[in-house]
Amino acid sequence: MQNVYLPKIAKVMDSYNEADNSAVLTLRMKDGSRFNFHAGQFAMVGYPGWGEAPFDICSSPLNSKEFQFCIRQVGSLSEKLAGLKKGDEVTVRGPLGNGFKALEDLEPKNILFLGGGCGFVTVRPIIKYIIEKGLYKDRKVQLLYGARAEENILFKEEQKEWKKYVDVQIALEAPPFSAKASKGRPKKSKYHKGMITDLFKKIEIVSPASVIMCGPPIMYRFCIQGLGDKIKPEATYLLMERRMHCGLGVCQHCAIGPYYVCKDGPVFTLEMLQMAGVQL
Amino acid sequence: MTSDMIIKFFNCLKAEKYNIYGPEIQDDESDILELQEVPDLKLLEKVSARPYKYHLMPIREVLYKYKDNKLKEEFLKTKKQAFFGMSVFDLKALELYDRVFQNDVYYQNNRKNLLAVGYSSIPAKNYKTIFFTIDEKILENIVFDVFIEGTKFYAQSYKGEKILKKCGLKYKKIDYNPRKEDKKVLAIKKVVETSKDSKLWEELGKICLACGKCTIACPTCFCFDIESVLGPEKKAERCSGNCFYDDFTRIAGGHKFLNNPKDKIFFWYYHKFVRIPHEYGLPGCTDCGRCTAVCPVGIDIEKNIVKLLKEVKNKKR
Ligand SMILES: Cc1cc2nc3c(=O)[nH]c(=O)nc-3n(C[C@H](O)[C@H](O)[C@H](O)COP(=O)(O)OP(=O)(O)OC[C@H]3O[C@@H](n4cnc5c(N)ncnc54)[C@H](O)[C@@H]3O)c2cc1C
Ligand code: SF4
Ligand code: SF4
Ligand code: FES
Repeated sequence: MQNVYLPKIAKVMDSYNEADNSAVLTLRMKDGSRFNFHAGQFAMVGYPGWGEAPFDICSSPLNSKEFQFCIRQVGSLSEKLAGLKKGDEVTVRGPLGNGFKALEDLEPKNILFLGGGCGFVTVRPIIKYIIEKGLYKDRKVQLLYGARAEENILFKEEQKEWKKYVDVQIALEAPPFSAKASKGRPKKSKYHKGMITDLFKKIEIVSPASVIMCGPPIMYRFCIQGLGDKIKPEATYLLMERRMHCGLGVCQHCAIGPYYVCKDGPVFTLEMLQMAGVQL
Repeated sequence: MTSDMIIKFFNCLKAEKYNIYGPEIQDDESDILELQEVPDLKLLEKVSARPYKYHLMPIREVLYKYKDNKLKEEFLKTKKQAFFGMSVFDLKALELYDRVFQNDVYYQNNRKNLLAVGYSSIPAKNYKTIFFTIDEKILENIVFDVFIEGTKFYAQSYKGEKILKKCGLKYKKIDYNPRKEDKKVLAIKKVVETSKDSKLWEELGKICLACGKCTIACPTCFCFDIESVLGPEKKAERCSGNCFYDDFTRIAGGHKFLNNPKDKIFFWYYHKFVRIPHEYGLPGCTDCGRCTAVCPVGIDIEKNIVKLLKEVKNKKR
């Protein structure tokens, strides 16, 4: 019988700082085994003696040799993990959860991402998959991202590459004053001012589209309201967050109504949540 | 007076080097402790105040240690143990644990050394509960190794047969044949599932202290935490959890998804009456009455479910 609680040891191959007090760790299994996962899945990442906690796998699902986590420092374990350097060891238990098993089969084909806060991490493996598999060729992909200020934007550098394939639109609550005059002409800001929901009025929203929301529940509520009948509950995917311990649907920490976020999620359709009477 | 046959069986288990656990009075209540002699029949006739579960799933157990850059699983070195005098309700709880922890190496390691000995002074089919069906087939619907009904012995497992033979006791073989669908379980599931707006939760929320005594006493409650322990030894441990405690759903930043007694007690009932039947097809509550007995404010689980059932009936009219 396999020991479902026993993690594997992974080696830190690289670590760099990201926005919002985060660090991206690149890992490789110590025993050389592959780590196969779907975009949207997570793993319990731990440091011996400090505990383990759920983190989204944020690298491309097409690379199973090395994989990444983007860890935001909010407490004892996350601070420890974010401070690790090349050569350090962590424990990894997973991949866990459902994730997106077949992004190419999403119906409607177009994809609209709505991201915000630290939930935005999950957008990255999906976008990478879409780009590497060329899924952008036969569908429109739009990413709306709401952040507080420019320095909170995650994966800002990479987004330059994403923009070649994906329509990226960013709304900032506090945009930079750098609508600087260059050569006498005012430079157009790269960002929109306001909340993510303000974008719905300013730009053309891809529709019909499968909607993938990664962010805090309050953002989900406002986006669902704001998008009105562009939202189809069966084609709207929400990433849910809960405290987790087992990651296997046993310990009950992550239960929402009849579901376990760790096992039945973290990706839920709005339809599933509505049917179970889950309030966002 | 405990019958000669029961004394004979108890002494035989002792001779066979079983550590025997059963009801014994400690601090004015019947706890489950290691026994030296056969318990008084009066104690066996009643459901003990405390459950058996902690001798099968300890309050804390080490899962693995990290040493010399390696992870090493740790298993308890369990001796042969017998749970003596489990009620029909306790055995129903054991059946649930077996299902929930089917793929759990730590549970199975402890479970393989367990001999479950049930006891009932009256015919088992005469037990009453609204939570699951009890009829002539009840001994087929619960799991045990040995069941003592009055002075009659039954065996369900190979282990049970072997020990009864060894002890020179006559027995009847009963095969485990769980009920496919229990109508009572399904009816209650339906009612609790759709009860979110019932004022019962409002009422309970006002009086429940969220002290968590009920879950500690409950034989089916199995929530747990996984904790890491820093120190000279780096290890991960599993500890029993409690959904009434504040950190159960707390995430970094302090947000709690369950942050008042009303939501907590609803979550607790929902697990017992909806999630468990949905996943395992078994009742999540055995109606043993322990939670009602320990609750400082007199919250009575059976009465509450009866109330919900009535509410639905009245609505239909
Ligand atoms: C499915 C899922 C995916 C996640 N993905 C990411 C990610 O990609 N990047 C990221 O930075 N964060 C992510 N989180 C949040 C991350 O798990 C928490 O930030 C982390 O647990 C904080 O641990 P800590 O010890 O630093 O904080 P403390 O506040 O010290 O937490 C102590 C313990 O509480 C529990 N806990 C606290 N917060 C959470 C939480 N939000 N979710 C679950 N358990 C928690 C953990 O057991 C933790 O060890 C994710 C959470 C979930 C549920
Ligand atoms: S024992 Fe009673 S008061 Fe305490 S948590 Fe349980 S129901 Fe609430
Ligand atoms: S009656 Fe109470 S203590 Fe007994 S199984 Fe049901 S919930 Fe648990
Ligand atoms: S984390 Fe244990 S049930 Fe989901």
